[in-house]
Amino acid sequence: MTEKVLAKVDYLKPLPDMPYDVVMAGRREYHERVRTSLADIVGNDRITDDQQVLERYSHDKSFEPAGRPSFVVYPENVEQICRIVKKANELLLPVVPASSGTHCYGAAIPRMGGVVIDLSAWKTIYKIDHRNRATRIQPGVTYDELQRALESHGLRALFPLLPRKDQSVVTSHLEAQPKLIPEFNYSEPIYTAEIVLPSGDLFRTGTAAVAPPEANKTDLIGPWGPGFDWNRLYTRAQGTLGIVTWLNIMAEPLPTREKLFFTPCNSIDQAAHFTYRLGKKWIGYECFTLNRAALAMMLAEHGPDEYRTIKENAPAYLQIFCIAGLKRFPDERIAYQEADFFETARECNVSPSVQVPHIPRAASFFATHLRQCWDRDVYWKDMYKGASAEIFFITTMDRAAAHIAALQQEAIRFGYDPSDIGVYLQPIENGRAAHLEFIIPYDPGNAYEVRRVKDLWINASEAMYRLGAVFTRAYGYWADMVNRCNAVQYATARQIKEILDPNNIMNPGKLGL
Amino acid sequence: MGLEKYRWDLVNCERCSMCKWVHPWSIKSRDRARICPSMQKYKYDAYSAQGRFDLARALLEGEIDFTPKTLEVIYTCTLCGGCDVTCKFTRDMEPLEVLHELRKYVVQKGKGPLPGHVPAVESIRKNNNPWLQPAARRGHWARKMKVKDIMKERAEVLYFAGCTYSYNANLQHVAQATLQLLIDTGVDVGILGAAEACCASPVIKVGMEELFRERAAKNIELFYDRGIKTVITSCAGCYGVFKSQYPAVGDMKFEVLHSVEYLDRLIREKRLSFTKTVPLKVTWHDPCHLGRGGEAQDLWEGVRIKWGLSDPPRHRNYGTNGIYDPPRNVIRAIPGVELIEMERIREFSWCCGAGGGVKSAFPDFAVATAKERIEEAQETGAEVLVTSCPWCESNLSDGITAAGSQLRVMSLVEIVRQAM
Amino acid sequence: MSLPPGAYEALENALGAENVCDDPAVTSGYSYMWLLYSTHAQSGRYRPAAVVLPGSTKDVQTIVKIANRYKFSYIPVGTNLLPPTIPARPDTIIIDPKRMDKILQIDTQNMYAVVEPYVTYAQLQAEAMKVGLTITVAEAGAQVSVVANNMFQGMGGTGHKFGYNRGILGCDWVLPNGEILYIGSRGNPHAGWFWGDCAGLNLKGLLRADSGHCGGLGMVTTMAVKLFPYPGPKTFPVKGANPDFKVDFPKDLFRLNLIKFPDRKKLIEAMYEIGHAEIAAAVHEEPASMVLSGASPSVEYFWEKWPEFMKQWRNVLSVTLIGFSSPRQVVYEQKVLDQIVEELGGQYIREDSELWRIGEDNIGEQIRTGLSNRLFRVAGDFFVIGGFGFDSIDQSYKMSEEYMWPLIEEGQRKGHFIPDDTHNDWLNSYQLGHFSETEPLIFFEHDLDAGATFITSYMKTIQEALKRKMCTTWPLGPMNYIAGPHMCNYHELVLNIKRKLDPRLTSNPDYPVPQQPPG
Ligand SMILES: Cc1cc2nc3c(=O)[nH]c(=O)nc-3n(C[C@H](O)[C@H](O)[C@H](O)COP(=O)(O)OP(=O)(O)OC[C@H]3O[C@@H](n4cnc5c(N)ncnc54)[C@H](O)[C@@H]3O)c2cc1C
Repeated sequence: MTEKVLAKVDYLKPLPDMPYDVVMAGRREYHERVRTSLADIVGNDRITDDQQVLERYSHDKSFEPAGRPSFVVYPENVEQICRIVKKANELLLPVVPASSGTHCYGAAIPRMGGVVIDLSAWKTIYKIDHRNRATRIQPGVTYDELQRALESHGLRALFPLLPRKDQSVVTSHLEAQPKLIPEFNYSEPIYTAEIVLPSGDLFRTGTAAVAPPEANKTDLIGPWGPGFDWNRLYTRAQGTLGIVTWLNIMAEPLPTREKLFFTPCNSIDQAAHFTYRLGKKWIGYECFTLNRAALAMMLAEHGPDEYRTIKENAPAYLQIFCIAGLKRFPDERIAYQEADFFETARECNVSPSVQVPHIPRAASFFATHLRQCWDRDVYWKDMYKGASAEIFFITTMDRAAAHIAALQQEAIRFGYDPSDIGVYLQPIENGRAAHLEFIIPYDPGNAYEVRRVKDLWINASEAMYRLGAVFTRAYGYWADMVNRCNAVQYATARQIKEILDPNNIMNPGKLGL
Repeated sequence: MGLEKYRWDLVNCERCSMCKWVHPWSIKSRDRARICPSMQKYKYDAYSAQGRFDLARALLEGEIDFTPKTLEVIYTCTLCGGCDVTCKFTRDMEPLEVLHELRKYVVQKGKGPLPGHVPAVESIRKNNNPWLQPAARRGHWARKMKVKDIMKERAEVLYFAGCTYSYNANLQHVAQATLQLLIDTGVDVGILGAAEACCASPVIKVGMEELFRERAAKNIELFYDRGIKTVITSCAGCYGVFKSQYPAVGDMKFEVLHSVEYLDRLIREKRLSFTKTVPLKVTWHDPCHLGRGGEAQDLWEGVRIKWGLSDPPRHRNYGTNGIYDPPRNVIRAIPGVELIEMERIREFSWCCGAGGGVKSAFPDFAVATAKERIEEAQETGAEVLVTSCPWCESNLSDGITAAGSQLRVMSLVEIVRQAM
Repeated sequence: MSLPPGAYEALENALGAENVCDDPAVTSGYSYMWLLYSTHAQSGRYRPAAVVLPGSTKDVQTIVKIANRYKFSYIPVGTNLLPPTIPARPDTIIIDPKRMDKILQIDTQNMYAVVEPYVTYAQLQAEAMKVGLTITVAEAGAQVSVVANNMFQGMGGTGHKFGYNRGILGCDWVLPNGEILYIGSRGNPHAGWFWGDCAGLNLKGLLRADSGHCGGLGMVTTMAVKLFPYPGPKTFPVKGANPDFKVDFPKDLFRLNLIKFPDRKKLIEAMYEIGHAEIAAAVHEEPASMVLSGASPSVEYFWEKWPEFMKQWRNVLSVTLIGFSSPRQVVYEQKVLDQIVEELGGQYIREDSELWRIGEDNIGEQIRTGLSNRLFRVAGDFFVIGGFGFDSIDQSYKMSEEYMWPLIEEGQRKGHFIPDDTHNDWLNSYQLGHFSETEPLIFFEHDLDAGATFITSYMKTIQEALKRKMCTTWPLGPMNYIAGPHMCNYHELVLNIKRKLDPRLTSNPDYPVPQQPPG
């Protein structure tokens, strides 16, 4: 193949009249050529086309269509990745990076086949830099692994809500999963990154650009440039612009004492109002709100009955708020923030307490789970019915009520009990914006319910979009939805993609690219 | 040396744009943040001190030639001195002097002033006033008053009415009221009657230095001749030029006071007291030539040496030693009057729009500027905009018409009279 | 310096004659500024072929399309403080946003403002303060454009608390092809302005970096920017008269600490400790030159005080505490600060001292920059040495000590830079000490010789930084060709993107990276 015309099919041109077996032989030949090329790079034992393995990568928890890779490779080092990517350009072979064990949103499904580069075994924590509150990690490092390592240095990782055990910290940061702490400066937690560009060249962002870490005399902290804000461009790019091989990310001081407060609210507006006010006071650490369904999903250890009991007893919404002390005068820090917290609560007419009324276990659950991965086998979102669909986006807290109402309406329209939809509202940057997430449990074994929930999911996504939801993490269907209404963004994104990835080999199809 | 004297300033302007704004710390809103009327109206940077510095530098260095636009850029400036205040906060430069020098330069080159300025200039030459009125009628405003004629008998204090208060039928009452008040409080005051001549502010403002020097010298001589100890004027324009420009022309052996200063002094000395309540909400407009334009200029001649130091060191005006407190003291002393300040006051006062020859050559610009001041005054909730300058009073009245506002403009002395 | 035939008329037809001007009397106002002796003196500067005043995004689109049709270039500007706004080629027009000067919205709840490009920080902050919000104001001065500055550095006094260069939310961006790219939440027509990250590929990444694209990729015509909580008075509390304004914040909520450390190392330690304790809203090493210039009502005053002041004011850290939640916060933070200061042997500058009187307005400067242009007062011209990186606090210190000051001393020996043996920089903490940046300040005369010395030092620091594998930030225009090859050839990526998005090179052609390396 000399002409690089991948993904540009001329549908009007009749297909060449080629016998089936010739086509198949060609394919087999190509497959083998790819295998040898890749095996030359990584060695035979680090490449597989075992059908069972490929199957695992070909679909995920989402409703996104399946796509089977031709190979999965497990490179040992960056140099191998560079060579693979260069080879992939020659072979016009799609390359899909994967770091987490479980995938949820279709981003790592090889829509157009190709090779999956699995980095989940890349578990090196290169450095824990207490002084600069930074840690440089490889893509396979999970939250529990990282947190364990950081704690001995008096640091903490910035956690999303109950990440999966096999969730890659790097991916979580790259995909900008919302973090539990809405303090402003934690919303862009990436310092520097190493990226294998779609050309196969190695690139580093920020101050890392000046030399590889070993030779670099900076602390790899400066996130800017060089030239453009690559960290931003690569955030949520879903692997379409390259493969990140390490990230240097923020870590924060480990609290020496903590105090959790639970504030029952009878409406999302009440919770939002309280959260807004706290944000302006700039106190506390973790802060988020769950509705009773989401709370019940987390707390029920013994199946649907317990789920229902907890749901019945839980307040409509529960705001969870953490105040902590650090190294210096921790009790006094807690004391002043607590005083301000309760003053605000009084002004907002809410009554926080250290317990959740009627749900005694809640307090101890959150006390242990704000810096922990989900530790049971069935993920909390799936506990009620075995599977769940998710809709999440960025909005503002004052719009949450409208979003929730619209979603409930959609649910009713599709015959789904709206009270079973979990709601998670995560303020960002002192509440200037919020991540709003809906969890829609369904029974994966019930084909009718699957279809119904899928329809609900699509229609509700569209409804949220019409209400102004910003689908910054534009997975699968959502990418088409947002691109449809933003032609210039889409066209410009394609231009950028063309420059960086002229052969469109990097996770093609994602983000509509 | 003219413009050349300011070459260092021209070359060293870093283009920080401070000259376009009230000093950041004193900005209270988006709408009232600007200091330069010319920028507000014409938008291009050329219409700021920074742009006019660039223009002056480019002219001096032969980068550009005169075009009709050059003159427009130079003359669409009220010389209000707002730029001077914020610039000087940061730099050791003299924007207001440069703006004056630029006009002189234009006149020297035979390009200025503008046709719109010529009638007033010629009238000053011929009639001693810019209003094309016969010199002989100058004293008519006081013809019904019993007052000393200084040309005939001595008086310690000269009340200098100025051209506008003398001739403008709508404003004469201000001169009359002030003079009466001085008489009533027992001041040994007189007037020059037909012998009073224009202060020549309008000619220096358009760059006609020679004519100005000639006229100013004559005035100084006359005042000196007549043994005048104190000159009191109600016109901020006259006041400003007496204070800031006359010292460069001749030795001023007399004190110059604006009537508001004198009123303040009378109140403090308990020679003036009020018997009536005047229930009014007012706001005070600081006339440029009473405020930041009312400071004596340093007649510095020297050079800029290493690091831009001045050799010999020079005094600079920061716009703060003008007459700001006296009118406010007077207003506050009047029973019933409530003073509510505008956002831009004192050294950051927004110009009325009439100065610098703008009213005659660019009347629309003048009114647009006044309109903005009226809007600002309205925002305070005041019923009356008080000031003490005939140019401001008349142009702000035009601003009221343009803004369709209910606000009234009054001269301070009118309120004082009401309270007596 | 003239446009291709027909172009001027096309602009006039589109915008109205009063909004287009090519008269040299007007264009010369856009052709000169600070640093030019040292930079453009070599590369040449031009008066713009015309200046245009668009009134709307649509006007800007039209201008850009005309530029493409008639093949001339344009430079979008804010308040034109930066040299890249001066044309370096003929046939260039300036898009001056003076008529686009509105604050379109302030959302109090969600803490953002929507502004057009000719809104300044002082204006925006004045309005924000009325509703209990503020913004971190660039040290370039509160009179610069909020939009332009956010695309450049967006770095200000309170960056320790509010962050560095992360202020951009939704934007309307006219691309070099004349189309509008909606950034962030603007990409969803139902969403509004509140968020900056795009759905889909995050093209906001092209809008900002350490120094942005400098108008090389079109013009942002409206921008939403982040606002932050502000517990202070509704108008900026200033007293006194020009040129001696003093700020007067309520002490229970705003407290300035000026702390002298025995040496710079201790000061650096204190910055780390403050960051780890997560206290304070503004933390800066304040060099003597900056503090004294800020307090100087005249150049004479500065030079009279400088020799003695330079000896007295060393290794001083300025720490501003703000009680966002209540005065209780200030009490707590002061206690923590006291402990840190004691551990490191620091001493507070006493409030009854002359040093305090000179430095006390620092608190006003952190909140609304009003003194910084006095830096130009000291010697005529001013800039910071190049080759500094934005990295850790340690890194700032190392760069400064290892090669920046030695190079500055070279310039001092030649008599071109003012004498200063303090080795103190303007060294800043951002985002609670996560980042830092250092700016050794250079004061030099505004003439060709001094300018040449400055530029030489500037370039040398960049080269030194690269040689030592200490990253350099801020290479503008042609300097990218020096830095690029040492930094993963980023300049080529940037150049390729420039070529793709601006194929006719109409948008400030030499930025962000010129087509050719410098001759
Ligand atoms: C003494 C001094 C100190 C400084 N200190 C700081 C500091 O502490 N923090 C900081 O952040 N910065 C600082 N700077 C740099 C400062 O960021 C810029 O000078 C500032 O942005 C200038 O604003 P401006 O409105 O004058 O922008 P301009 O100079 O007009 O524009 C800056 C650049 O942006 C481009 N541009 C402007 N508007 C647009 C638009 N709408 N769309 C696209 N491109 C546009 C221009 O083409 C130009 O290249 C400092 C500068 C100086 C001179």
